[in-house]
Amino acid sequence: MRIKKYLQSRDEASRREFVSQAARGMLGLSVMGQLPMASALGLKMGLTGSDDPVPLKPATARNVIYLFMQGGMSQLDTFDPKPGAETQGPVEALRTNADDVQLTQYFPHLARQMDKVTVVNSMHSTQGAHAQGQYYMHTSYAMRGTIRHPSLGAWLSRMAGKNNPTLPGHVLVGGSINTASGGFLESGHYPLPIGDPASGLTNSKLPEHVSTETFHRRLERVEQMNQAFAEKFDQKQVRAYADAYQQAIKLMNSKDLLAFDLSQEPDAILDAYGRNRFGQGCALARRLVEHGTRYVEVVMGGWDTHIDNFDRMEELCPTLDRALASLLADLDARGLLEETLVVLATEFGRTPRIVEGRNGRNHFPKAFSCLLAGGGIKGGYKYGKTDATGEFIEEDGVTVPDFNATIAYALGLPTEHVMHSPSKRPFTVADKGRPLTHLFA
Amino acid sequence: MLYRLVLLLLSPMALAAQEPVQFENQILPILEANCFQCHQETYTDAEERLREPKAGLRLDGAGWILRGSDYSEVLTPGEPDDSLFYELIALPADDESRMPAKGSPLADAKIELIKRWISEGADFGDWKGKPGPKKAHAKVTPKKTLLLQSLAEGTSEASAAGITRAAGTLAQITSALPGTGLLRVDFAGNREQVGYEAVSALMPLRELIVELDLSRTKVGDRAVGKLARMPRLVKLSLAQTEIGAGALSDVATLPELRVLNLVGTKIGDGDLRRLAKLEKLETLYLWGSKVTAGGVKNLRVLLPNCRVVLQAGLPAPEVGAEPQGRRRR
Repeated sequence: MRIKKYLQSRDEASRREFVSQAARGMLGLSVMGQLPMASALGLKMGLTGSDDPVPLKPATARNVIYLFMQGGMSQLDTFDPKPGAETQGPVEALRTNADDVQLTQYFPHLARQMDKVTVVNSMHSTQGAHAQGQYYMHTSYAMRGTIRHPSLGAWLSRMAGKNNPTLPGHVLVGGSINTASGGFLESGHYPLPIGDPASGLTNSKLPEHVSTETFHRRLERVEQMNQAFAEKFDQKQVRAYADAYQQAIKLMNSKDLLAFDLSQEPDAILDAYGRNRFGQGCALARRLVEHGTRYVEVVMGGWDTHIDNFDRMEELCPTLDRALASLLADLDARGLLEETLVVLATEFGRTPRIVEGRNGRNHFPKAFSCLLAGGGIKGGYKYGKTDATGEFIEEDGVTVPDFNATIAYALGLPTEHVMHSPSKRPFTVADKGRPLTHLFA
Repeated sequence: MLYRLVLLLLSPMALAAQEPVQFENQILPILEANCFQCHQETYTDAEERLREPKAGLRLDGAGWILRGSDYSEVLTPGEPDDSLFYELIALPADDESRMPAKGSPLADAKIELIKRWISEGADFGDWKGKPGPKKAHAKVTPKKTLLLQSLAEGTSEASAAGITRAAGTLAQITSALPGTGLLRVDFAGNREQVGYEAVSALMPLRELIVELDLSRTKVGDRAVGKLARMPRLVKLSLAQTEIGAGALSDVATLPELRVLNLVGTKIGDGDLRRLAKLEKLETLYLWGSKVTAGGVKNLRVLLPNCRVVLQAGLPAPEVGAEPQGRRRR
């Protein structure tokens, strides 16, 4: 009996995967999985998930652009310089337009935007390996074999819903769906992954040999085939699939599809962000937020600088400098920065001690740096302090859950609200983190 | 029954006999003897081991006790049953979460005393102990929330049916401040269909709308004229619309307006003086409009406290070799 039940549950999961894959393949859509809009009224009151609305709190931000520095970004070579210290190597510090904040020499453009940024120099994590660290940073929970936790973007989608009903609410540019996942939440809260920002949303147009009529005929046929099934199994998941089609088709026919098209941007703007994947990803993130997507994560890889740290910084930092400075300036000039929280995070920092022989830095979860800007956050502010070598946190250590609770607080997500996984276990946004409310203006 | 009777008889006497618990004389000695070993400022013990406060909880200062552990607050004055500070010492003796984790459980009388101290409001008297956390978990309410809270006074929530009607098929109406009736209105996804009609439909909610995003819509001066009757509008975006100077005269009558977005409009230098009445205006976005630096200079005289954003200040393009994969239209 028990075995039969088990087999059934296995069967269900794989069938679900199949349906999803098949829908993508047959219809040429990669926008699957956008959950249905909440009931009209629920959404209008700022409460979504008609069957389980979440009471929201006052928010200072509506959107998040989350820049993830994958591999573990060296804090000493970026946002926590230690001028004169032996651990600093050849890198020099740079003054910024905020009195209290210093950057390294690699950030001349960002130095002119620091009056919009809070630097957190006292981050510490419990995870020192990449996959675990990335997972912890995204979800606030340690990786476990028995459950997948939702990332912040998925929590936002589940608790606060979409802004633009046509566009996906949660988008991931670059990076892996394994870290920025929707966890145990319904598939609609998973991010829509975009590989190359320059090519935007692929497969969103009909192939040349398919006319609009043919397409509609096909859809009708799918509907006929599904009807009996949908009537027999009138369940949330089944309805979600029907709605996913509707969502995808709505987007295909919408002017908002242009949000994904970077060629709509003037060259001067794309040049400013930098003609590379991360720079263009940031430009895309701005476009998406402007059109009503609420959570966009852009991933920049290559920060795992065990070898030749300083040579690598010469390549990585200028890319980040240009993209982030442009993003902040561009959002601000459009009036979007005050409602968009820009987060820069990484899974951990790197050892202040320079590894001899290979001129590198190893993993260092004990003290590292992250940034917050816009969305009601103070500008030109530095929080937390490491000692003169960067080895220890001296003041105001910030845990990963605290940092994420701060993002949740900005968005008005209730951190104490318990949501249950399908296995009926309780989880909260940011685990037990406490928001750093004094980082808000 | 008998139990109640006993209580009834005892309580007046008990109350009369009880002076309020004094923290420094009665509670602090219990904490020092039983709790400080694990819950005080980081120190080096006799065996030269570094002792950090367990769970980040310090009990050696009033500020620290109120701050709580790294995970939660531990004390709710007046509510012992909602205070881990009491709950954890009162757990059954065999519960592994029971405090103190080391040493013997507290005597019942001491537990009762702590409970009473919390019930009486957890008053520390003059005792402060070690200086509390500077800023770490001091609770601050963001300026924006404070402003909306003050505007929410005297308003009541609109009916769900009223909101549905005003939204029609185009608007997204959400709560601007949960717990109050204040509303935010946005037309994302439907902007090209939004004009005078859609704005007029919002009028029944005009008292409650604090944020209105009309960017990229088809609204003109006539629609904006309607907005003049929104007494609590704090933030208005007319970016990328075809509004003219006339619209600014109506916008200028909005008594609570703090943020005005005119990015990408055809508003020019000569039109700006119409905004002079917006004394509360904090930010004005003018990038991509017809306004020039000279116009902004004149406006600053009229609105000295307003931040005016005219330029984006984007980094100049890279000089030298262009990276590969560059696309030109």
